[in-house]
Amino acid sequence: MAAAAAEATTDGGGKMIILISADGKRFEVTEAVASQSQLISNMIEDDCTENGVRLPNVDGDILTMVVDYCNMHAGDAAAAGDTMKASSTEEELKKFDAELVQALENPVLFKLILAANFLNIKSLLDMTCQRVADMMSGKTPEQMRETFSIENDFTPEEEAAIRQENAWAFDD
Amino acid sequence: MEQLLLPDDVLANILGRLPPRSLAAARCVCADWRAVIDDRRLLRTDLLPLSELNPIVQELEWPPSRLITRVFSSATKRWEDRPFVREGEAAGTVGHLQKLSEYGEYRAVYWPGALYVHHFSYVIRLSMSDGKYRVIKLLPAIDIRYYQNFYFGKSEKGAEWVLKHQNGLKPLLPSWKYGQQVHGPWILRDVNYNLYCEKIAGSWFYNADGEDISLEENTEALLEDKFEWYSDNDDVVEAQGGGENAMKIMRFQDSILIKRSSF
Repeated sequence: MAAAAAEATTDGGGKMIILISADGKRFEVTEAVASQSQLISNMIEDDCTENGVRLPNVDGDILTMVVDYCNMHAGDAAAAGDTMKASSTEEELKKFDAELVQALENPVLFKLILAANFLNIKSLLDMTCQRVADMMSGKTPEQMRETFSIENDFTPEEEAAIRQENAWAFDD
Repeated sequence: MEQLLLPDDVLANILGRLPPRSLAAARCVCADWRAVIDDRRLLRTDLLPLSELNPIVQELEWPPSRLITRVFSSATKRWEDRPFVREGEAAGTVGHLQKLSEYGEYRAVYWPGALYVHHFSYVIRLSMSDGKYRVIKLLPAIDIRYYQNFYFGKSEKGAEWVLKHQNGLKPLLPSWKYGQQVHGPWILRDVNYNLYCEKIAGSWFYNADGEDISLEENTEALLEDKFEWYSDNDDVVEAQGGGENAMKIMRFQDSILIKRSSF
């Protein structure tokens, strides 16, 4: 569905916009779908989407996911009900969202977060950030470092002092 | 696995979703995370029950040597977190001030170059030009649990600030001379002093709780005083908190607005 510019003819459902990923992949979507991105919505208002919207910091595979997500959720936002998925039920959406983020490896998840942040798609950003927060919740500092490959840049003394400041969080 | 390299805003978005315990753990992960958590004050220890606070935290001084306050800049037209470095002593310890924090209302007033913000038992003088601040302790003789309706006003001389109170202060401060310099730039002044002198000739009426019962006359006195004191100076736009713990807004050349600066 994503990479397909299958609906090149619009079926009378509003203007189409072409999104171009960093690696040159093209995605054709309706304005209603694309407008879920506040960034693109602003561009549409300013009338500067005519020659396609270049997204130099979003890779094609990530943009595929973003477009999938937006297509799926277009029903929320779009009054024009011509997208195939506009009639998705709430349950279907939840299932889709859960499957979208849960299968992702961290690097991909982070890229998706960055894309959602850059494109300013609040619901996608919320969902992906929540996913990371869920992964962190209940973990010790060591486990968090391990999960996200973060280097501990505190000296042992500093770390002891910081733990001491929030010692209540570390006793069981 | 790739390192979690996310912009601070996004990292804050994620960390802000964590429950306090996990957030405290995240604070120990690395310096960047700690900075994001501390700079945005995500770990709201003030919202935890006192018993949750480590004794060591309770003994930390407050306000901290580097105070971050949310301000509205007239230059950028945005709210931003601006740090202020403390000069001089703190107001007290976290544990002590936390016990008082439910009392008092926050008011603020701008005077060229500095913003005075009332925090229950002390006042912070924020200096816009050099990013420094100073704590001015209020009068220790006053039990703010009963007398919390202080507000700022400009004295007749124009150069100093007066701490006024709508209730009579006489029983609190029997031996104090009104208008006496007490602490820093503050002068204690009872706005009803003259009123009572004239109308009631020194008789004071209090109910069992020690509250002034002549409310109507108080209000009159306040209005009169305010008119007299502020009408001649356009530079000062006084802000008084309403019933809520929120500061109202001041307008000034280098305007700065402060939302409730939370403890």
